[in-house]
Amino acid sequence: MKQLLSLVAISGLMALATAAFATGVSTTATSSFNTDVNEMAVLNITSGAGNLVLAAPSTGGAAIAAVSDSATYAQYTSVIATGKTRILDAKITTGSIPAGTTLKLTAGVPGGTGNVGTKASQVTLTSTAASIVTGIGSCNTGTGATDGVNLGYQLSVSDISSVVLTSSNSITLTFTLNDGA
Amino acid sequence: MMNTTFRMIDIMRALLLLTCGIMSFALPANATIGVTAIGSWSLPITANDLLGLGGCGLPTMYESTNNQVALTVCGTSGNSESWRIDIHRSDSIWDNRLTFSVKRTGGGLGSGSIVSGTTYQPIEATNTAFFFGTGDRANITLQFQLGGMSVLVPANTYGTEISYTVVDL
Repeated sequence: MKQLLSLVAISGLMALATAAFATGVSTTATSSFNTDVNEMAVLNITSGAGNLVLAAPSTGGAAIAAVSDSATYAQYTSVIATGKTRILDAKITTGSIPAGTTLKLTAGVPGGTGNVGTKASQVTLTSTAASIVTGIGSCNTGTGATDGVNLGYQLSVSDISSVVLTSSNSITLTFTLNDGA
Repeated sequence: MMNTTFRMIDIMRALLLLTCGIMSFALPANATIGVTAIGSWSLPITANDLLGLGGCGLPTMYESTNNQVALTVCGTSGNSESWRIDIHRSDSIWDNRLTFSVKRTGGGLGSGSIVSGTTYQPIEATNTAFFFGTGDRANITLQFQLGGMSVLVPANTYGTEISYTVVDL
């Protein structure tokens, strides 16, 4: 009787072990892969902006000519969800332009790969943000010396009666890649 | 006393026989080759991956560790039994610019043998042969490659499930 019980017990344990093995293994197994592509908005303004100097006209009585600079570029990388776009805007964050003058910014046609956006019309720079490129999707403009959006500045006299001699006015412009509507 | 002893033995015997009976139903009629997979790959892509300042792009290719997933093939009748691993993927969310490939980086352990699958091959939606072997092999390591990445791939969480099927040859 003991031998029979032992035999039955061993058989049961073997069956249990084999069944456990059999139920843990199948002819197909799986693994998973996930990649989370995050939103990105990285902006770089190239260096090299020159000074804008309003010079005396060569002929007495002539208007003071506007001066311009277009040596710098806005370069950006944007990764955004489908259906969303961004805006590149600019504003004066420190300093002020000389009295009687106006500083305008004209964005060049954006270049690069992907949906680099559309340039806006010329804007007058103030402390309030103004859009210079709209409809920016997932893209990158490149990082070469002339890649991206050319930034064309123009300083002109808007009210000659207010213009006074100053040694220098330094301003800081801040550009931002904002999520659009 | 004798009656009580016999009654307990009878109960134990009945329980063991019942257990054996239940387990025998769970057993396959013939031994079946099986495969298990351990591991997965989760890859966050952020602005830290950019190749430089604003205006630059992302790396086009990402590679997992060389032992990202380990497969085990077992349940063979011995080294004379040949098998093949087929592979395919089922996407949940995917961008068609992305490619996904796999290669075998290790042969694993065991008395059987293993061949092929050591260069990257794309994982498609339909089953394709990946590598071949004989006998039981444990800890067959795999490495994955994500290609086609760029800033043009919209921000989202992309995912796929990779299926490995062992085919008894």
